Amino acid sequence: MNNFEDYLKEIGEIGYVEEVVGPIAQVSGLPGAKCEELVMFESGEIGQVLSLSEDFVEVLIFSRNPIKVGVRAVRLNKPFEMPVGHELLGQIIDPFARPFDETRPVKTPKDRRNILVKAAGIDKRRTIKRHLVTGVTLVDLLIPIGFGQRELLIGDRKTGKTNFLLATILSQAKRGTICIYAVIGKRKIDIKKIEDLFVKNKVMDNIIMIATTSFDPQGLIYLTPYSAITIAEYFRDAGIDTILVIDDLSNHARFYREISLLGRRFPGRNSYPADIFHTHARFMERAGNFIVGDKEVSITVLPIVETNQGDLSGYIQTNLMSMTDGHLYFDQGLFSQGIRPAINPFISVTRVGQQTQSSLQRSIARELRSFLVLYQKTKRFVHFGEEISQSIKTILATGDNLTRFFHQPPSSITSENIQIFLFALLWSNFFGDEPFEKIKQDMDKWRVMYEENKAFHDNIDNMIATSSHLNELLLKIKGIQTKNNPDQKIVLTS
Amino acid sequence: MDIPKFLSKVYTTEDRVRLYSEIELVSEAIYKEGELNKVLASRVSKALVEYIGSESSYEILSEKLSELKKALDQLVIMKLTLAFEPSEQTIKKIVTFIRENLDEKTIFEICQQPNILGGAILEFKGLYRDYSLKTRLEEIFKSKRDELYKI
Repeated sequence: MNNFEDYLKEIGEIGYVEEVVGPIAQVSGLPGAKCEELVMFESGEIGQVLSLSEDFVEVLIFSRNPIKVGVRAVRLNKPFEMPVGHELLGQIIDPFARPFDETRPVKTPKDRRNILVKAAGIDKRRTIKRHLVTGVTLVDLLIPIGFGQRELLIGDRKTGKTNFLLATILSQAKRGTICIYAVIGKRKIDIKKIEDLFVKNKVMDNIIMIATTSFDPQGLIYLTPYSAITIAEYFRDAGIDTILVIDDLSNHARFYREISLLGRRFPGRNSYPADIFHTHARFMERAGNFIVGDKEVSITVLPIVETNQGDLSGYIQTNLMSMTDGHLYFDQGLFSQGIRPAINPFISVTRVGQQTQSSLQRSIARELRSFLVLYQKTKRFVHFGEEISQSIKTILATGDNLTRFFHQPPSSITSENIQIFLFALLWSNFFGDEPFEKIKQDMDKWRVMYEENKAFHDNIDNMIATSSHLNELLLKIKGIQTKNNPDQKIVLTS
Repeated sequence: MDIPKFLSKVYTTEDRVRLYSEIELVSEAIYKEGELNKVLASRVSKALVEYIGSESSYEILSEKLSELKKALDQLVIMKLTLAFEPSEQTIKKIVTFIRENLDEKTIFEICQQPNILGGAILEFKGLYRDYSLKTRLEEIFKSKRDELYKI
């Protein structure tokens, strides 16, 4: 980048800072300034044109240092471009692709991309067809997510949203998907904790973290999701599937509200500016399933939004629900009951997930959903203290077992086929009246065996691949001869 | 004297600042008995005295001064950076040229910066033009570096 004087001579326009309010500077002059163009101040700081009025150019400052009134400014005749490339993998950066931790230098890639581009058109998009395995059984079976989907994660604070995301990232990073984790205005210690988990699980090489802390300038925090999606687009164009996690958009909306109010924009509902929907939809639209060359490549976005006391009708929350392809609701009540993940399958929605499932998975989801509804109804009915018949006892016992089956400790992941296999075992009453602790021990053994024993792995995969309906799979399971000797190798006779 | 004629004698931002303070002085003196004549006789410029003329009504005088102030506010500033301190005659000559060719309401903010060596840097309505000798020399050094090294 040239220095201030070079730009001044090259562009031939000058402006003077007339007023500074927080991160916004009102600059006189610069007659040719355009919206979203970069502006450089005499002191070397960078800003971006937010809006234009008759007398002033409103500039959003990206600097930690305050700009003084009277300082000269020059426009750079270009939008904000950030360096993107494979060099960023395994790094924690800020939205300018500078190292987040100054003691750990990051090699700057040569490619540069404008971070505020238009979303790709309909001609470059394809229907979402591929299933994205999160490793979380409840989600993969009941509320599936597809590659290219935008699935909102919504819930109160401390309900396990981040743990679910970490499990998804671990599951996908191991399969070679690039994961971009955008942290918006969080504490440094939280960012460090997330990084430590990735490093511990040896997946950091497939992850890029774009982080801003609450101490960063509002302008920089505002740019975080745009920078993240720009990096995702780079990998999409390189033919690699990408998952983008945005943690979280309620914070982003708050910082944008601060900027807008300081910029004297008219406040709307909850004092948010009128363009808050556009601000979020603008980068969300850039995700999807695309056709690149001759193959499909996706950008999956998993944004997080916090609710207050489980209120789903908040302004930002409903905005985001309307611009995403479904949402996973993390229920405070379920979390308090010790259910992990605390996802409420009745309130959660996936608009395009089902089309990514195989016919077997779809039949399982159908059976499961109708049974869970029955289980809930029965549980409510039992509250009246009625005498319980044997059939109701069976429903309650199966429902309890299923609830415990879906229980997964934070950051633990289960492969797709073993999820289906174990569910089918449970559904077929394979374990009889054994206590769930014993069932769980057996299941854990088989999970390990699936990962370690190739013959067992292949047999399960074959069994799942050749079944097109749950009933078909249940018939095959009857042939398994392992019930009485679970410590031995499982022999599948299907 | 009418306003355009008065403004034609304002060349620089310094002139304008001086006039602002003179207008302030006269405005304060209007309602003090005997003060106005004293101020007009010794503390303001001849041009302002001529502009006020023999007006004796306080209201009209006050209005006249506020009109003048408004007209001064509307003057457009051209920032001129020179390597030397220009004489009054030079300023007058440049201002006359600019007013004839660009904008009648232009005044100059003169800035002296010896390190530009010669020529001028102009800033007008957000536009910036560097016609300084320093920049010309830098361009020459940049474009003819190899030839210069041979000398």
